Amino acid sequence: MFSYVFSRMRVLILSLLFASFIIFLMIEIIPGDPASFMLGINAEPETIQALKKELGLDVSKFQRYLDWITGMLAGDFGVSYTYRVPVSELVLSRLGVSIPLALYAILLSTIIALPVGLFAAANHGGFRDWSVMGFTQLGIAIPNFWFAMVLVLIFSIYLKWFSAGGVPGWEKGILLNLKALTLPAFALALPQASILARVMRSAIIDTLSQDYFRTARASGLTYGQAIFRHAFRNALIPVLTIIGLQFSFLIAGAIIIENVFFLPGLGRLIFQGIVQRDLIVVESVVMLLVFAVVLVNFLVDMAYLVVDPRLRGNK
Amino acid sequence: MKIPLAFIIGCILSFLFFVMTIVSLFWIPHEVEKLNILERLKGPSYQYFLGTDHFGRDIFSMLMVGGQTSITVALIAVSVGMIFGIPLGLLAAASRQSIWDDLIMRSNDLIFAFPSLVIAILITAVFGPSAINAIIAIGIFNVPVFARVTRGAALSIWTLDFILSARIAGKGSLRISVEHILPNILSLLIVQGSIQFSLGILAEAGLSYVGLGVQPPTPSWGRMLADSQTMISFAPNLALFPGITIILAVLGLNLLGDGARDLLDPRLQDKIR
Amino acid sequence: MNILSVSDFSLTFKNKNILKNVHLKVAPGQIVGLAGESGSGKSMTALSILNLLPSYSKKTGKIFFKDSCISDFSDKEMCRIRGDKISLIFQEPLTALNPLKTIQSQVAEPLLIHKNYTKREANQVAADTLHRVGLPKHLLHRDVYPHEISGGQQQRVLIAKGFVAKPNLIIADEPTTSLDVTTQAGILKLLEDLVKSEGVSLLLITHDLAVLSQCAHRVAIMKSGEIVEEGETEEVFRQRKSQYTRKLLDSVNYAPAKKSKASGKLLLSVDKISSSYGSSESLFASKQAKFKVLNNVTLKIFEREILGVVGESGSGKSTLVKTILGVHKYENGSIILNNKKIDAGKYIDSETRSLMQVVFQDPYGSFNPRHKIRRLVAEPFHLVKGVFTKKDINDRVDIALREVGLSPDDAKRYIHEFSGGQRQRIAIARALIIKPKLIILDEAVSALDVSIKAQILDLLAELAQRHALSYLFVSHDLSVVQNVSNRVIVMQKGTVVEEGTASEILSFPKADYTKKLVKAIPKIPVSWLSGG
Repeated sequence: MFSYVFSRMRVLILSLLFASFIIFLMIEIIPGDPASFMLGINAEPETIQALKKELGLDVSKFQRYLDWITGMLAGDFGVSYTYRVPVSELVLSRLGVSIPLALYAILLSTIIALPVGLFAAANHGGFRDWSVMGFTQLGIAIPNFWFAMVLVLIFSIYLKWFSAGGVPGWEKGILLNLKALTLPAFALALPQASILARVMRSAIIDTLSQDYFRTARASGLTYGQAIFRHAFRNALIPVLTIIGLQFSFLIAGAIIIENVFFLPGLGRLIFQGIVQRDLIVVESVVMLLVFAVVLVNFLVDMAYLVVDPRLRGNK
Repeated sequence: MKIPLAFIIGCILSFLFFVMTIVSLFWIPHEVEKLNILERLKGPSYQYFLGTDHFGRDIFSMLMVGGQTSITVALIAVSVGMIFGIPLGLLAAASRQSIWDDLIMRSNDLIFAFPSLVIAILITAVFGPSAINAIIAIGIFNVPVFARVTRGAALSIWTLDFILSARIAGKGSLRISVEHILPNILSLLIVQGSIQFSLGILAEAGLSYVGLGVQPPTPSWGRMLADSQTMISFAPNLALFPGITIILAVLGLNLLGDGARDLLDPRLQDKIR
Repeated sequence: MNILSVSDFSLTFKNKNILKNVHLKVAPGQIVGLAGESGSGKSMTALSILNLLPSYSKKTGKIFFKDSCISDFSDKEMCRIRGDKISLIFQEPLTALNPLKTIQSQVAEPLLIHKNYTKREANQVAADTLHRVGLPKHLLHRDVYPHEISGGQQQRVLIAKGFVAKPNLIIADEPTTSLDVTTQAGILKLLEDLVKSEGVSLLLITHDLAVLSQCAHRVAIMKSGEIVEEGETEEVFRQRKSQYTRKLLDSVNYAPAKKSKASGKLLLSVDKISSSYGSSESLFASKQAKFKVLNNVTLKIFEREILGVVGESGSGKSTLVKTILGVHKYENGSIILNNKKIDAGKYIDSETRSLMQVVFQDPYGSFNPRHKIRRLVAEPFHLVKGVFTKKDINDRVDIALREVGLSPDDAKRYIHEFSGGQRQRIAIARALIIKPKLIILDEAVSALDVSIKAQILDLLAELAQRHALSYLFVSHDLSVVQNVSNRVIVMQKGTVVEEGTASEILSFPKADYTKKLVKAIPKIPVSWLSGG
């Protein structure tokens, strides 16, 4: 069991190191240096040199990479070229939107998907199964940003139940913010839920043909009891895998959805960074997003431990 | 054999999508690069089948031409994924438990941690936005997908006795991979290809929507949606039709892929087991 | 009154007859055997009794449990019978247990469903029952999972689960088929013991007549969904009223007539080789400990000799096969074939390679389903590339197919068009095609039904004679090995524990393990077989 945890940890750390290296390398290719870009064409060379020094750009590339990594480990992401404030401050305020949005969406999609998948599997081959699967096919095909626009059109413009964008800020109370995040989270969750429901369904159907399911039926469990006691937990293993894999899509989706709803999250920050060529911001946010994906996959690996005793090894 | 309804619907939708795009290469109802402010924001009519946009361009024509962008980007991206992913997956399976296998699969995991949008963001930050950008971003993300699917399927074939007898007949890993492994997993890869193709269309629309993909004036479905967003309250048809087009194209390809898998899978299993 | 009586029961799946007019009775405290080859409908009979049939099945006739007609019961009513009055034990002990639940909770489950036990009481009874079926003390803990125990122990857990609610009837469907013969003996003894001391009845379904001859009071012989013969065990074995029973019993312990005589010329010499698994070169995963599979194994095969290798699972016999074939590495010692060294790590010239061929166990996995028979059979020609013209190769394929009893026309077909026995014939044709001196038969007849097995053994004996072949006959089944081999070696945990002529080993085993093995083989009493 410990060797499993250690090997997963090793994967986590190596992934992050590799990712940071790639990101740094990409940003390094960029022609022209940020200092001269920020100061414009007419800047004096001395001023540029001074700014370079201020931004920590006057040392060797390897040194900068090390500085960047060690800085991040200490929570120091550097200083934004354009805003002249620590990137960590910028990021921190944006995380207050992005993290709740991601969690909200995952929660929604899981809550929708598991019962739907179970329902379809329990009726599998029948009309109900068929129609549920039809809806999930549709859900997968709908682009989430378009779905977000339709939600805005219906619930904000016609029905006026929700505002069309923005968040009130956490100091105004949790409920108001959750309400503001509901449409974005729902738009994000729908395609995820569709995929998850399909996985849940096929995972349950797979367990139905397993020998232990027959054993359960042969020892007197009704169909429903057998599914509940012997199929549900076993089906969770592939579902967990997919939740882990889906997370990177969720991150990508969130970046786009934040733009639809004008949410001040990491997604908006990254686009502002690109437009303003604020590379340190882009670099840091991308690293953060990759970290989130890698971390979630690590957590999923740990969740396997809880669900699957075979990974815990022999005593 | 009974062919499932979903598969038939998938075939029809995919067929319509391809025909529409191919026709657009030779003929479209109205020019899409000429602005005609007099005809702006018209509703659907006999002249303008789905209405016009804020520059007076015919929406239906733009959708037809936009299909070219979708297909080009998605097709090249899937090809990139297949060309790199399949050999890597075969190599990983052939050298199972060795350093090669490890290296390939771990780098796959790493690329998986970069959603295609994030790759696109990085590339855009460096080279600026373009269609090639979208192709590279989606293509890179497809490589580990195909590598994984190929490796997984190949591994299960490698355990079978006929591979052992091929080795005993003196055949090397490369020859076995091409002669015995690939033909037995090909149908699976084609199905995966159709699914990645539809995902590519969705991803391209997403990238274009946020401005990281195809640049104006080239029409693309994602851009059309982005342009329509500010006018959604008074011209919802601008947002509605491109969205529905994307849904139908993606739905068609998915149904086609799923149906093909259902049709191919049982026979495949029957033969192998 | 009978515990179970099946009368005139028929079953069809989508207009296909599965069972036809089946009659079967089980009296209290009785062991009734149900025997037949694969596809004869044995397992379907078991599922019919518990009414666990697919929804598209159609049935006629009646099945009584005591005096209630359970074939008319609804699923809900049947749930009260299953596991409580009648329980069912399946063949594959590992897959029949839920891998994510502790063995104790799985054994306790029927009590929670059927009796008004609290969880605590149920767990206590489950632990007692696990003890009763002979699970060692250290496995009686609350948190033991199926993957942590051996196959035999898993089967004991399943028996405990079937027995825990004290049913009147236990149906065991091939309960020992996937187990080693030494483990099988223990499981059969346990089942017999439960019948004797607890008074349950047992319906024992198996393909193995020898098993039934030892423990069943009555047997029914099944063929293509029909019961062809039924009666007291000894009577059925002695009298053999039906032709099919006669054929089955003749095939048991079938010994092919001709045995080639070994020459004095050494063909293959395996000298003190050791080999291990788990030497992964992984970068990221933690290093696994090396696991030694072969330890100082030595054997010799002379020309025209048939050497039998017997061993249970984990004895290292399949690794030995792979090592000899040059596809698995070994660490020390040497393998010499016709004066050339065989080593998976190094280049082996085609000429040496072409001296040996192999036939595997699984008739389904042995062939690429995408290629036609002609290409499949001709594959070994890769070793002698350029020597033969295309026409030569085609002619040789035709000859080989004829030799194994198939027709040259079959070369145009695909493998899925053939039955298991025919596939083994094709595998033999493939092995023969480049005229090797040694053919390794790796459990080559183990997956076949007895009557087919006899035919293939005959074919092998004839071919050995005609082509002066040597065989390395590898099997878990000592009785088959001793019938075909000149000499036998017995393997256990990667080492050779005994070597000798077939009759020596069977009649006067020396090593403790061999003694145990010989004793565990179920045998039909000789007097029954002679028909006296």
